[in-house]
Amino acid sequence: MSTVALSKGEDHTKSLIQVWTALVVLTLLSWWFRDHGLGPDAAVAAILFISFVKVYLVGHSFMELKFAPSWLRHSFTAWCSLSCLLLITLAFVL
Amino acid sequence: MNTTAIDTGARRAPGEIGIWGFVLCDLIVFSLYFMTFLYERAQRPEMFLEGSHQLNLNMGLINTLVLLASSLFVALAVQSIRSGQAVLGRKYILGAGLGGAAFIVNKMIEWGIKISAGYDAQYDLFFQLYYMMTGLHFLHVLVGMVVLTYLWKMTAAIRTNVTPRQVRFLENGAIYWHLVDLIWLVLFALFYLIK
Repeated sequence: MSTVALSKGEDHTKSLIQVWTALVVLTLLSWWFRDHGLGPDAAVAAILFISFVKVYLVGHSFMELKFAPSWLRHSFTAWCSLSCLLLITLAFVL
Repeated sequence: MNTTAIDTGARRAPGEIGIWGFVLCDLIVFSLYFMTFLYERAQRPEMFLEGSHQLNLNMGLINTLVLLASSLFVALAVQSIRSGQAVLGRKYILGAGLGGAAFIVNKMIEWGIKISAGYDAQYDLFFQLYYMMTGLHFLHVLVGMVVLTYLWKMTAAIRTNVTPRQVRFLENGAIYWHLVDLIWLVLFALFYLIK
């Protein structure tokens, strides 16, 4: 039976907690933008943009796409960018 | 016994190719739902504004923070188990599961309050989309809870060595759980935050 000896490896705990902190701060920031600081249109754009920044951070760090082959990383980044662009466009153009 | 060190720094796809195929397909499907929501919102701005005001922003915010914490626990579990700390990893999986359970309870309470106030799926298009999209996401959460339960049981047997198959399953399950978190982040923005 083939087994994997568990090496201590590189500790990413600090980096994961930093990303989680950024996600919480961005969540609270977008919650604040809902009613303060920006006009209605700018708030919609800012909230959608921030939500996709959070999506990218989850993919890049928690899903470990930063360690993945470039085709997979680029596919995910392309989905994030295209979806964000399309949704912001839809919110304003229609 | 043949043993191999895990090279966590190597550039390789975490999990298996099949889970990434599923993730990318699911993301595309949800993107279409997101676009449908914004298209309909543009056709009926008053209805969607009123609908958004009827939702409980604080409950949505709490669920977002709960899922983010749950995702962190899963990421820490993967790292702990791969680095030989299976007991700690199991505690993180338990934490993630508790987060998932809290999300489920919160969501059911929120739905119950809205339905008892008359805002059911028949009320208008906003609530139809709300129940359809959050309901679909809810099904993802339920499947994720089954996956977390399996990971919890699977990791009980790990002491010092973990098989490549176990690592792959752990990574697949973690990727799925992060997908659940990721979809919610956009749903929260669409239904609760934008006006």
